[in-house]
Amino acid sequence: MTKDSSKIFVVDRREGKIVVLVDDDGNTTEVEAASLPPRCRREGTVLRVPIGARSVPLWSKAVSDPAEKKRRLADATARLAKLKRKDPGGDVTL
Amino acid sequence: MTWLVILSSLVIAQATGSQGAAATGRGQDEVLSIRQLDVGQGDAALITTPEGRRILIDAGPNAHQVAGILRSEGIDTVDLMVASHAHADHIGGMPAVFLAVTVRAYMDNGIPHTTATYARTIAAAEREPGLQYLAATGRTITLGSATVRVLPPPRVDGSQNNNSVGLLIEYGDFSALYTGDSERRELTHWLRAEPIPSVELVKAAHHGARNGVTANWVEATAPQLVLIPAGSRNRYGHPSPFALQLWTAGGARIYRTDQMGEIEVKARRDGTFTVHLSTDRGGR
Repeated sequence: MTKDSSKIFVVDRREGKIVVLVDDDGNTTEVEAASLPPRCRREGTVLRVPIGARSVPLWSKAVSDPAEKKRRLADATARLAKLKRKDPGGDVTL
Repeated sequence: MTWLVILSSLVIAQATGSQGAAATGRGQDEVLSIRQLDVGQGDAALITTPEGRRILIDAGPNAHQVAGILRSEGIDTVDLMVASHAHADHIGGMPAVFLAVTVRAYMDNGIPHTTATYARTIAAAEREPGLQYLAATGRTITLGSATVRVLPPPRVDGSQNNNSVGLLIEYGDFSALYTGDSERRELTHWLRAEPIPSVELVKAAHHGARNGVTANWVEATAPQLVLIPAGSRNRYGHPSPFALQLWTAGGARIYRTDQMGEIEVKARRDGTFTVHLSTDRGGR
């Protein structure tokens, strides 16, 4: 949880009307898509969700964090590029 | 754990042919084992060739379950681990697998995700000593007497499901198709772009969701056996009655982890197989 009592969740995927969110500890939460603002329902979106009384996430007040999404994608892309250098190419026998 | 062996009438009929294989010097023990693990609402399959080479396709949602299974069975090496795509119900257990065993080669769809689960997976792959990364291009991977032909994702958009890695696993006359959570768009792409053969086994795409099958896909693959990994009491309606009906109408027998727990298929080189159900039905 951040200092302003919000928490980061990421939209891992959509399963019909359900949005599956993953927090940074790897825990999964399922919420109805309708309970999130429309801009917060797309796969890959990084959300900052205010935490209310009794530690309940206030889904309707979630906001997307495009800068954090960009940072994460850039980091992942760089790591993938590094991994791809370990590809011998072509068919492989293991 | 005890097991119940299922022999379908079709398999019994085909099993006659397997005696011929034995007579040519191939023992009945020479089987390709395909285990659809019971990981709840997620996906994980462990495939072992007759030579003991191991392929792990996805690692379920739970951070420690699949690593625990590998450790409890004394498995110290996975020759090829494939992340079909980067959703947490498929890669949640991968960081722990990297820690628990030696992973010789790793393949994913090459499309990054923004979850911490994905970041931990890719970081664990980076740290794995001697790891070969294999991009999901149209390549063939040989593991003992089995081969894996990769069906590359179409990369028409950034969707994880529709960029799942497809794998055609072949062992003699037996073949199996694993296509992650591919949806209609990707299945239709493969039917146009790849030679998709009829196979003995299909792992139902997207946990048997309505959007994970088409009539053309059923017709082309024409499997005898469909495995559906799904969690009991999942909120997504997996598997869908529509998908079940399509596969059944196509002549396939359906086996579901939500009802049967872990499912093991033992395939022989002549294309025959037996299905083994654990009597310890997790129904997770």
